[in-house]
Order: sequence, then structure tokens, then C-alpha cells
Amino acid sequence: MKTVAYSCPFVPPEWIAAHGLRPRLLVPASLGTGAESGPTAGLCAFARAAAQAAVEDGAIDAYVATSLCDQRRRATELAARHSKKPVFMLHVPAACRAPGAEAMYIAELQRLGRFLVRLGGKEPSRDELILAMRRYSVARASLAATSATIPARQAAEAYWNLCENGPAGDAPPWLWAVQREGKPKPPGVPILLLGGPLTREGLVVLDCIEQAGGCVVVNATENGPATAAAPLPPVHTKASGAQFLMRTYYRHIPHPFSRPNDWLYEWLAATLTKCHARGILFIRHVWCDLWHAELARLKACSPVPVVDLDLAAGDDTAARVGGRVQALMEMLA
Amino acid sequence: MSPAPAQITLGQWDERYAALRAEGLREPSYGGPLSRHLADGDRRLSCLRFDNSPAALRLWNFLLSEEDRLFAARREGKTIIGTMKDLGTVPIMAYALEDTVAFYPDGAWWQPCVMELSDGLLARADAMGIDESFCPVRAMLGAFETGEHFPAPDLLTCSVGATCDDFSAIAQRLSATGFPILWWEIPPRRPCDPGEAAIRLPGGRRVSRSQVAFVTGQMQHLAWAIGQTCGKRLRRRHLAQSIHQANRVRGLLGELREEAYRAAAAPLGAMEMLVAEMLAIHYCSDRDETVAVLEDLLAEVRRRVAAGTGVLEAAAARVYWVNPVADLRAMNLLEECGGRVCGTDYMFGHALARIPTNVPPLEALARMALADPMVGPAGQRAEDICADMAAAGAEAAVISRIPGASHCATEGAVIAEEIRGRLALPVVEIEVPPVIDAVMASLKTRLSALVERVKERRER
Ligand code: SF4
Ligand code: SF4
Repeated sequence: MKTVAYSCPFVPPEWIAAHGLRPRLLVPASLGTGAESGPTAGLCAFARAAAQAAVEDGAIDAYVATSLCDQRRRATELAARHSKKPVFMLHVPAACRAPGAEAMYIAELQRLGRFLVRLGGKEPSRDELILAMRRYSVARASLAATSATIPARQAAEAYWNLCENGPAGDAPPWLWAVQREGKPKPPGVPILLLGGPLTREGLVVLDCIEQAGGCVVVNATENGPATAAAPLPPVHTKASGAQFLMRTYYRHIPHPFSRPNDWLYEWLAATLTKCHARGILFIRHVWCDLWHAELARLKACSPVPVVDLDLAAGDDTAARVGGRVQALMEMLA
Repeated sequence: MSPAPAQITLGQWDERYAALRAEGLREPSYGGPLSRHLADGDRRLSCLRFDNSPAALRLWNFLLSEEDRLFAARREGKTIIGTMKDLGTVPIMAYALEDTVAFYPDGAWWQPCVMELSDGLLARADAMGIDESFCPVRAMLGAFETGEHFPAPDLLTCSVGATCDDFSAIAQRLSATGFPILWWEIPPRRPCDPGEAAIRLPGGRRVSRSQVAFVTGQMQHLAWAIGQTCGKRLRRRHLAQSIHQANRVRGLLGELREEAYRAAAAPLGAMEMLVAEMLAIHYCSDRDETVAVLEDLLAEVRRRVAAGTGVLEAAAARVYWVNPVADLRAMNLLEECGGRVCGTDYMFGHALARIPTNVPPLEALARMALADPMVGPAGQRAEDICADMAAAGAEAAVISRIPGASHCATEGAVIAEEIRGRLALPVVEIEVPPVIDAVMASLKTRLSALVERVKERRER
């Protein structure tokens, strides 16, 4: 079975799975050293590392990139320039209230479907797609319930594991690790994590928060569990599978790229009320304009203190993170 | 007798202006000596070298009086449409209606340069959390806040989707501070999938029919919103007429580029040509006058070409320039180093191409918007640049990076690789900040080295 990688939250793995291919969320090991060949200055290190890994990893047969931000679009083009690996660019419309924006997301999914068929996949029936969506939705719900009781690193890894291995069966592999280790979530000052995506090395952020006496109640980083798709609503209408994906992904996932991006703030206000977080740690990758530009507004409107942490290739992540987390905890003491 | 074509300082222009007046120079309402703009705070002018023709005087006065024109339009009760990011598309709709003026708030990009940072616009953007890691277009935030550089528009539009993150993020910040924006979507131009029907765009690229249909839908929405704002209906015949006039501007500019860039000795400096090219996007808030300004320039250039004269030596290295510069002084600098511009890609090639007139007007505008070099892959832009360079007989290229610009990080590498691979010509990548004084020495060294390489290659 061919493996189709993706790194953007707006790519639904169930769509790939329903086509009989293996979706794999691509989480780079690190942001890199900053001494890689090719341009690095001015580039979001995550976008670069993800595109590079997608092209270089021999276990990946094709990559679905998105135009969520200019950095992703251009980093993918640069990485794929001399590669023969099939790359599909899914356009996620930014002007979310413009006429035809939602229809375009659906049309883009359908175009992706045709790409997957050309790769060797099979076009799913509506029932097959709904089944795949339901299984992912149930798995996400079960993971969300479990996440509330386990350390943040485990919850993030379990989510990534689900996105890599799929929701297979009653005792899926992504859940085994959680059950095997079975560590309880440490108590602490509730913190909400918001911002750009984390790498595997970047999970040290979560450890640092817990070590400093915090407790990550919501991980809403770009590839974190809290920014996953919405649960699948009842499917007794005549809507197509792609329409459900539009509702659960495009309409639901909070991200600053939307124009206007009020939904991010509405979602945040509702989530803060629910989770009782007392502080926000805001992650942004150096050169990421979309998250960076939100920082001032976020600080102005957040009812709780916000501390920002910028990440770049070649950073001593653990040392830098420690200092910023400490700053947040001191503000909350 | 007219003096020979030359580049002169602002002080020298005062003397020249007095002489021209004495000879009976007739000027439009916005005319006058260039140095008066210095008194208005446009300090950078004192560091530039200008073309000495009356046509250039008119061009500069036209450019530097745009603010006055916009405020006058406000006083006269005209409808003002602020069009952001699309570079050349939406103003055509706005100008289709009478008593409507369109302008690009993006133009604030140049304020920090022109006013040598004395305007404080970048500092205001800093205070709003938009620091120097963003493109200098962030000056626009300060301009909206102060209200000193343009009046608040009646309608503000912005294209997003396949646009730079800088602009999208800055415009979002603007919207969050209380300036409502009508957002419209421009998707990334992509090759047709197998079996998809294709449409040819201005410039020759092919794109899927579905993308054109989608963008035409965006145009319909914009046309409706502009009509609502003006209290009039934007009819097809108005649009067709407006496209016709836009093509008139583009045609003139095409001829000007052809004459000026192809001539053996540059008949006009790179800086005036850059300003002239910009007119195709926004008409400096007066489209009829744009036509008159371009006609004057074209006539002057033709006179000079016919006489075999120019402002630079014929031996100057023929350099192709990629991306606009945040500091106009950089264009003078290339010429001081022995180069001349023989072709450009200032990121808005779609605003120079002829708009099709054999399809419905809104579809024609959609095709044009999709032909924007910045909404397609950098590889396509690089291919087009190579073709243009070959046609222009370019001997080298300068890729001018814009500080903080999200696209520059990757695009420069792609363009440079293509130029070296396809044309085997020297390329230099430089970064041009809003005021280059602090990096002038290093820029000069790099541009001189490029010119030297061209001269060495000629001797080989
Ligand atoms: S962190 Fe920012 S630049 Fe990087 S991938 Fe996410 S949105 Fe794009
Ligand atoms: S110069 Fe580049 S980064 Fe700046 S607004 Fe224009 S396209 Fe965007």
C-alpha cells in the first residue's frame, strides 16, 4: 500500500485512507541545524523541514502539501524541484467568507481524490468514506478523553501516532503506548499552548511546562490534538462525504490564515472558558508571519497572560524553552 | 537649445526648471519645481539623480502629488476604493465608474524611503507588533493609523490565497484594528490536471478552466461590492470601456519599455522607468493623466533614440532587474557602477500584459489576475524571466531581495538557478532596505563586481 504524507492540519487523513492508501502525518524530527544546503534565512524552519523530509524519505510515495501559507507553498516547490516524487498542492482558500470558498475546498478535495486514484488508489463510495470518517472521529474522541488524564507529551505523540497509523481496530497501536506507559497527568497550573507546529524535538516544550509546575490542558499548536477536525456530525442528510470534511476541517480548525480570522479568537475564547487555562504559551517559528502578526492582538484580547516563544533551526531548544516557560510560570505565580 | 539628456541632482533641477519656465514650459495643475516636494518631507529626493527632461519632471510631479489628488478627491465627494495586493486588477473595475478613484495603500511601501524614515510609519508598525521581520509594506499600517498619506477609503479590498504571508498578515492586522476589508481569493495558479479543460492567460500560461471560473466569481462579487459602494451598477459596457483604457496604458508602457530597454544607449534612467512601470498598476489615482504622462515620456524616449543619445554610455552592462527596490537610490547606484537596466520583472508582469477583449470583461480580469507572476510557482516566474532576458540581450541579472518578504527566501534561489542553468549569465542577489545608506558600500562593491564580470565576458 502506498504511503501518502501530509503535514498540514487541513489535509484529512480519512480521505486518503478511504482511497485505499496509507496517510501519514509528517512530523519532522527537528527544525534542523540551520546549516542545511539551500536557503534557510527567511524561511519557516518547520515548513522547510517538512517539505524536505517528504521529498527525501524513501518510505513516502507521495506528498500532499497545502498553500495554507506562502511558506509552505514555496518551501514545497523548492524541495520538490529536482525530485520525481509526486507532490499534490491542495489549495485551502484563505478568504473563508468569499463566495465559493467552501465549494473550492470541496473541489480541491475531489481533485486530490483524482490524484490519489492516479497513484493507485480507488475512489471510495459515500458509505466507505463515511465509515473511514467515523472511525477517525471516534478515535479522536477517545484520544481526547484519554489526553485529559495523561502527560502532554504522551497525548501529542498518541495523536501523531493516530495520524500515522490510522484508527485501526479496537485496540489500535496509537493507544497501546498510552496504555502501556500509563503515567497520570501531573497536576499544575493550567496552560494553553497555541501557535505554530511542533517537531518531535519540540515536544520538549511540553516537558518543560510540566517540569516547571504547569499542566498543558490544551495543545492547540498547528499539529497538536486540539486543532484536529471536529467530530463527525450525524450523517443522515444527503451531504456528500467531501461536504462533511469541509465542515469538520475547513470550517472548524482554528488557524490564523483565514481572512478574516475571527474564528481563531472565537474558538480561543470558548476554549479558555472551558479549560480554565491561566496562561498561554504562544509558539511561533521565526519568519512565520501568520502567527507572528497575531501576537499583539492576542496579548491585547487575552484574558490570561501570554508569553511568546520563537523557535528557529539550530536553536538549543531545551535551553530557550526553559527560560520562556519559567517567565510564564513566574507571571502566574 | 535643449541640453543633452543627462541625470541631474535636485539642485540642478531647480536651475533647469527656472530655465524651462523662462522658455515657456506649460505644466499640468500638479506641476512645479521638484524641490518643493523636499519641503514636504520627501527627503530622499536630495540623494537621487533625475532625468533632465520636461517629461521626467511631469512624471515625478505626478507621482509625488498623489496624496494631494486623493485628498482632493475626498473633498470633491468622489468614491475612494482602496485596493490591496492584486496589483492592477481591481482598479480597472473602480475606474469603470464615474467619480470613483482607486489607489493602492500598498504604495506606502515607499514612504519610509521617500521620507528617509522621518515619517515614523515603520515605528508605528513596530508598535502594532509588526516589526522588521515583515516586508516594508508594513508602513501601510502606520499610514492608515495616521490618516496623513491617504484618506480612509470607502471600500477596502484585499486579495489573499496565493499571496505573500507578509501582506496577508499585515492586512489582517489592519482589519483587526477597525478597517473592514472585503477579502477575495486568488488561488495559486497550477497546471491543469489530466483531462481538465485549459484556458490561455495573458502572457501565454495555461490554467484550468475551473480556476478561471472561480476567480471570475470573485470578480463578480467585487464588481457588485464596488457598485454598492458607489451607489451605481457596474455594467458590462462600463467594464469593457475601462479595460480598453487600461489596455491603452499598457500599450503605451509596452512601447516605452521596448524603446527604452532595447536602445543601445539607455534613453531614460532605471529609476524613471521603474516609476513609469508602476503607473500601470495604479495610475497614480488619475488614469487619464497617466496616459498623458506616458505619452510625454514615450515621445522623449523616441526623440533620444532617433538622435542616438541617452543618459548612459552605450557600453553600460545590460542588466535585468528582478523585484522592485524599497529604496529608489539603488537604481541610480547600478548606473553609477556602470550598469543599465535592460529589462525588468517587478512582480507585476500581469499588469503590463494586454487584457483580452474577446471574452466577457469579468472573465478577462480573472484571467489577468491569474497571470500574476506571484501567484504561480517560482519556477514559472524564473522561466519567464529567462525568456525575457534572452529577448532583451541581458548580460547579467540582479535579484533584489525585499527585507522580510516571505517569498524572497526561496524564490531568489530558484530564479538564480534557472538563469545560471539556462543562460549561463552572472547573477547577484542583493537585499535593498528602505534606505540603503548603511549598506551602500557593500551594494556598490557587489554591483560593480557584477558589471566587471560582464565586461570580462565581453572581452573573452
Ligand atoms: S508556522 Fe507559520 S510559516 Fe510555518 S508552516 Fe505554520 S503557518 Fe506556515
Ligand atoms: S514586496 Fe513581496 S512581501 Fe512585500 S507585499 Fe509585495 S509581494 Fe508581499
